[in-house]
Amino acid sequence: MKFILFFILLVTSIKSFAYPNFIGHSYTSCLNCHYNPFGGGPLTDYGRAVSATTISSKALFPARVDDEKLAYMSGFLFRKPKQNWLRTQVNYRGFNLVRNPGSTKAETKQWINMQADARLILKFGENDRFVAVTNFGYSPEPANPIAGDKQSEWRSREYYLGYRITPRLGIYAGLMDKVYGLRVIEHIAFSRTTPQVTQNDQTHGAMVHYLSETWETGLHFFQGNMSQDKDLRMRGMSGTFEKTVFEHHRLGFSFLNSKNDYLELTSLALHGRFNLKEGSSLLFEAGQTGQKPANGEEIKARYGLLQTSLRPTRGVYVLTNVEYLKRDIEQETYTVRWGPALQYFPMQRLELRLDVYNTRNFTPDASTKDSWMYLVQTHVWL
Amino acid sequence: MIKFILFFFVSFSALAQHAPVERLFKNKEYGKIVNTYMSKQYLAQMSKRELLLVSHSLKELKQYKKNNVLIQYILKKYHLKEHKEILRKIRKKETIDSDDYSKSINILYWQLYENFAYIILKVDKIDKLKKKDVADFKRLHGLLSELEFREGSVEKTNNRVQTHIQYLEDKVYHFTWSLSLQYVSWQYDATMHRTSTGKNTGLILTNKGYCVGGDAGIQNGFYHFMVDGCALIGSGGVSAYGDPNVVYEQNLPAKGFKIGPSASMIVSSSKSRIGIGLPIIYTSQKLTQPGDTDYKVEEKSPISALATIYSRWQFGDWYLRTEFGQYFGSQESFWGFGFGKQFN
Repeated sequence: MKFILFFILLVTSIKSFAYPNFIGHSYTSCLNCHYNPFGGGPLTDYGRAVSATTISSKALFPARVDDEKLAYMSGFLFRKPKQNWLRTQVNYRGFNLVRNPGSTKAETKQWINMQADARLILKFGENDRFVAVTNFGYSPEPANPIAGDKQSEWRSREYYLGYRITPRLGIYAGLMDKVYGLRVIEHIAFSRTTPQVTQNDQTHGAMVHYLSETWETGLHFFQGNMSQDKDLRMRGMSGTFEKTVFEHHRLGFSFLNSKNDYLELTSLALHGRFNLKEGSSLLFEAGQTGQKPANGEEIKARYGLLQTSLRPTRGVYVLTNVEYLKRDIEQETYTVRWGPALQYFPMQRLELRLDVYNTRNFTPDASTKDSWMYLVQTHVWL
Repeated sequence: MIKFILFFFVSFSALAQHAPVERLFKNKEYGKIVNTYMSKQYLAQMSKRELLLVSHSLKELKQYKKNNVLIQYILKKYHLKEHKEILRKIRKKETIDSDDYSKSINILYWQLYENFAYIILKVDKIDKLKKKDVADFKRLHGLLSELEFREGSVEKTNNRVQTHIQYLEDKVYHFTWSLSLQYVSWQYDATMHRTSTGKNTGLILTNKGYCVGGDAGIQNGFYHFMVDGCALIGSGGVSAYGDPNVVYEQNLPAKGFKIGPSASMIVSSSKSRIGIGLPIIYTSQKLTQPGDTDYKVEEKSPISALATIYSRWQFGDWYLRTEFGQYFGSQESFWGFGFGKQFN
């Protein structure tokens, strides 16, 4: 039963927000805009200003409102904070999910409130040397909850303390996302679900981060999520290394090893982020994950992600996710999921997004109809 | 006595001319100033102040070329020594400081620079842009930068001009072609008809393979219009769907081609682009008839039309491309990604 619950937890959806495609705006390191040096979670003051002056459209503002004014208004509740030690943020994300669109028999529509949370950040010292970050809020319970094992819809998915010993070196401890691969926003991406680093896989642990002029690395030692039963907690370590190449691009690799009473998981990945200027970028990740049950043979899965991003005009991004998954490398069958998407930031604090997913399975002597779904998403943050 | 007469004559004529130029300028009668005084006969007799008033009038009338001729005349007449020294120092790469020279020479350089900027900014086609104007503008930009005079404004003007020149260059369409190799997957559907019951069962083919080809078209800095085509080589599995009692599975080789027009918008200085395409796909793939004569496979036309979203990421001449589309009147889709090399 616990094993099934464990699996359901793995495939349940809540987004954790990170936009590694913003390397297209020359931001190679996530630390520029996020308190977490590997991205996701609350934005720094600088990150909010970037969001207002670079990422979001100005179309809804009169011409007299320039970027300087937008940056000034980018704080919580449109105000510049009066003190330097406390920050608050509020987030909501919901979407309308349509499966099998156009099918008279099989089409289903569902509105999902994905996330509604409040975030609190305490920060002290020069350049936010010491930070304490936490969030608390609503996130939906698993799609198929098991009787007697009901998950709370109100919980914290992130709380940690961080200390930058020097501007280059920082240590962090608490409940955080695992350091591994590209932290893309698509929580159902094979590159996130296969190595188990998606939206509900936060873990308690300690992380070291080092940022050099031309490379960046992190090591994460974790003891599992303490809210889970002890036998389900995935304990282990992960790490990632990225090197800046040709001034604007990043190449890197990641590893992860974790284990509980039922499963040992080992994963390796290569990734790249390419800045194609003016907001356009290209990301890839290719990895292999081995899952060894306590009493069974290891099954190795192979996955790939190609995420492309183009910015036709300020505030608008056209994305394509091309994903590959071979669940068992011994088998010939594999899946390719193609996901064009349109992302629009009409103003800072508002993101509208349309994602289409086309999933195709390949089997040597057979064929199946593709599955289609699309979602229309609204993301508001204050 | 002769000296006195000469002095009187010169002073009188100067007074006689100074007053009307000043008055006309005050009344903003720039056209009258230029029409009356912009001749060798008058210019030679005018004071520096009058010449500057004529220069301002030319600027107001947007006669930048004539104004530059006049400013160069003023430079030679009143600042020849300074001008030569500055040019000599720049040639010898010696340090110069605007404070070491009269303010008026700095202003005259700035006005020349501004006029060349206006001349270039007025040009709407690259073939109308005169190389000499661009060269003179660059020279003056170098000169003002060395003098460190009005640095912010100088750079702002330079940026505007460079952006405009780039825009003029980007507007020009040129022929371009490329070769590419893609990994593709495309679908095709057919029907299995049962004669005895009249019932139809759907068949779906999912092909995968490679598409070798290229494109040819015209491109400027903003748009790319092309015809894109490639030869398809692959294979695919076929299955019946919708009726668990009908089993029809096999793997078939596939050959064909894909060709069609596409238009894309170039969205970054790295020449990344996004666009749409309207290709047709022809597939030669013969489904075998079942052994049971009660069943018959009915195939559709081998040619299908589709609409695609096309994007390309340039790394110099090399590029990565993706394409995703759906057939008209069907749920089936096509996708492909690969790389290519562009030739201009």
